[in-house]
Formats: sequence, structure tokens, C-alpha cells
Amino acid sequence: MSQLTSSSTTIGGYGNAVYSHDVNQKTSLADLERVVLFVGHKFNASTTFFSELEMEDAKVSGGEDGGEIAFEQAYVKFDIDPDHYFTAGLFLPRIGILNENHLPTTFNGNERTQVETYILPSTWRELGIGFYGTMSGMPLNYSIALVNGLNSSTFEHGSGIREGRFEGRNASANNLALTGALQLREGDWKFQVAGYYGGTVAASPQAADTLQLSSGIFGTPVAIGEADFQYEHEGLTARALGTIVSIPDAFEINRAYGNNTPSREYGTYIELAYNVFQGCEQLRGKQLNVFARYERLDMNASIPSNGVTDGTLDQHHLIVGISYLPINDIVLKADVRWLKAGDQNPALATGNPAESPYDATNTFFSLGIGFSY
Amino acid sequence: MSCGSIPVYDAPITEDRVKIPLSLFVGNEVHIIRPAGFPYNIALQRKSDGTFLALLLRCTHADNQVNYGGNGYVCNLHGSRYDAAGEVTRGPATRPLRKLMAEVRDLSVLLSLA
Repeated sequence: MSQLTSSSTTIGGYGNAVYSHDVNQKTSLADLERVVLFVGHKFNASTTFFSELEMEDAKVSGGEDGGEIAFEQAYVKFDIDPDHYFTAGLFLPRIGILNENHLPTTFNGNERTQVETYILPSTWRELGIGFYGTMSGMPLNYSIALVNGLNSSTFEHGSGIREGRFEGRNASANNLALTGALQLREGDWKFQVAGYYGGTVAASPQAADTLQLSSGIFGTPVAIGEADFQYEHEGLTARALGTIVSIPDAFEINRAYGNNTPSREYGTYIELAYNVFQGCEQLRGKQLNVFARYERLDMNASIPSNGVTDGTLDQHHLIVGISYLPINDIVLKADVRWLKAGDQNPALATGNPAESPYDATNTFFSLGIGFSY
Repeated sequence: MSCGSIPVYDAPITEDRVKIPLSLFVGNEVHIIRPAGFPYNIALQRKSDGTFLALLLRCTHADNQVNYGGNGYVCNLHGSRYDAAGEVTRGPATRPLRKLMAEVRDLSVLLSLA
């Protein structure tokens, strides 16, 4: 029996590099976006440590912009039985499609989806405890987690709640968040619904009172709902996701921090892809996926009376491209993204003469390579 | 493979073996076997030739438990997928699920966990 449950240390990882061209600005960028190292250790039959260490942009050099070294995950998993386990540490809450499974070999396009970058801020990791389970005899997974909350003082205009993540560093634990998800796998389909509810005031109660913010575990909350499905059958894949973020106390946040927080934002996308090598025995083990994805997001779908409308955050994206996998763990990608946004609010124009005048439409070309192991 | 509910069978372990009654198998459906106190489930399927395929549901990438789903098996840790025969259909796993010895004897299927 010991061979089947033996202790072990595993090493793996993933990464990607990209070239992208912005047609309006006439600029191109080449970047080693990320290289991630997994290290996992199985202490015994029921206790395992998992970690992911990420470096972005190849280099971190003191005083210079760009680059980041961060733990994406570092947690211990305690198995109750094969179908139920606890986690404790820094982990990725189960929300969205990409947050848990974001290897470059598993999604189309060089960029992660806009919706799951700016509405659901993947990869979103926080400190906490989680419980995961599979229903006996059914392909139904469920999970619930308690993690530290967001920090509304660091929300930034144009990036939703993304900059409010603590990501494991000096997180305020005065405010907490509950997140949960249900997943159902039925034949070629996978469905998921997920939710999040958490407080966003990291300040002390006294400081919060001074700022006229509601503090406490769920004070000045953010609420998120998400649903998605995935379908895969004989080379054809389809994905769709919809999510809404509600920040009912956005007025109070803007009054305290002046960061133009919206009271509601939403995002949705649908993607179809087909492996043109499907059924070709000579090309078995290789994939050439042709895909198209439409995304719709609005990071200021509803703003409080002290907010400023920014039409540039009301966006449509159409991405078309190919992903070639010579083997399962290597992918070469090429895609075009067309962006159509709303009108710019003149009050928000930067007036930077080095930048091309605002154009509500733009086109981006990207080429990239990704790997996982 | 069956859709919807999956038959689950809880089995004690005796001398590193698990015994599953043949009578459980009406057709060629998959049964999830849960050996008592064992950290991984086993997928057991009768093939059309009457032999049995037993797959240890331990992901070959980072040893996480693998669940039945998607007409195969899925690891939620990094997204690895396996088909009904245990072969990798999506990485980062590269090795197939481990096959266990399954022997038919005296109206039972015996799985060795050694």
C-alpha cells in the first residue's frame, strides 16, 4: 500500500512570453509575462503542502517599474477522505473559470480574458481557510472559504476591485470575506455558480468612523455573483461566463478615498473554439484550436452621485485567434483583439501630448508562447 | 460512462486488498470504490471483454485527488484531465492514471493496493 500513498515532493510550473502591438499608439511590447514554479510536498497520506511562486516581467530591480515576485499560492491541504478536504494558507478562491485553472495551455488568447482580469481580478489569492467536497455518488463539487477581505482604500479607477487585493501580504483581518461555489459536471458539460461577500474597510474602527465608513467583518461590503459553463466534445469547446460586482457603499468609499469606485460593474463573455486536427490520426496528440471570443464589460455600470462617468470603461472586445499545441504542455498563440469602448469624459483626459488622441476603437495583435509542466 | 449519479461502493481493506462483488456490475458502468481509510478513490469499470480496468484516482502531476467528471477524470488543482481509460487529455499531467491489478475470483473483483 505504501507505494500508492507514499510521501513525495513534486516540482512543476508554467509560464508565457508575449509580443503585442497596439495599433493606435503604434507601440509594440515584448515581455516574459510570467514564470511560475510549483513546489508541492506530500507529508503523509492526508497532509500536503502546495505552493506557486511567480515572477512577472522577468526582472525585479530596485527603484524600477515593472516586475513582481509573489506567491500565488502557499497552503496546506488536510484530507478528511478522498472526497473532502480543508485548506489553510494562501489560496485561490473558487470563482470564475480562470482563477483556479489559469495555465496558458488551458485558455485561448495570449491575454487572460478582460472580464477575468478587471471584473474578477484573477489570479485572486487571499489568506484563509477553505472546505472542499464532492457529493457522494454525484459529479457535484462544493466549496466554501473564509478569507481576508479587500481594501477599498486601494481601489483604483479603471481596474475595479483589482488593486484592493492583499494577496497574502500584511492583509487586514478586521474585515473578512465568505466565498462559495457549486460545480456540476454532466457528460461534456461543466457548470459553476459562485459567490463572494466581504468587508472592505482595513482601517481601525476609530479611523473608519473618522472616514464615515462602516467597519467590521463585513463593513462597506463587496458582493459578487458569478456563473459559467464549459462544454467540450470532439474538438469543439465552448465557454461562457457572467459576473456582477456590487459595491453598495461606493458613495462612502469615494467620499473617504476619492478613487471613483463604481457601485456596480459587470462582465460577460462567450467563446467558441474548434480543434481543426480533431479526428486526424496522423496529428494525434497535437491541437490547432481556432477560436473567437466576445467580451462585454462595464467597470462603471452604475456610479454613485459623487462618482465620475468614464465611458472608456464601457467596453466590447472581440478576440479571434489560434492556439497551436504540438504537445499538451506547449502552446503557440496568435490573436487579434478589437476593442470598442464608450466616449471619453473630457474631465478625465490626461492631455499627454505624447499619447495619440483618444479613439474609442483600437486593435491589438499578439503572438506568444506558453508552457506548463 | 454513465451520466448523472455514479455508483459508489465503500469497501474495507483486508491484507492490502479490496473485494468488490461482481453483482454490482449490471453493465459496463464505472463504479467509484472507496477503500476504508485510503486517501484515494479507485475507478473500476468492467470492459466489454469482461475484464476490469481499475484506475487509482491520484493525479500523476502533483498527487492530488482526481474526481470523476467530463466523461473522464479531472484534477481541480491545476486542471489536468484524463479520459475513461486514464490517458492524459489535458496537462500539466503527462503520465496516465496508475492502473491497479484487478483479478476476478469467486464472484468478486479483487483489487491489490500493495
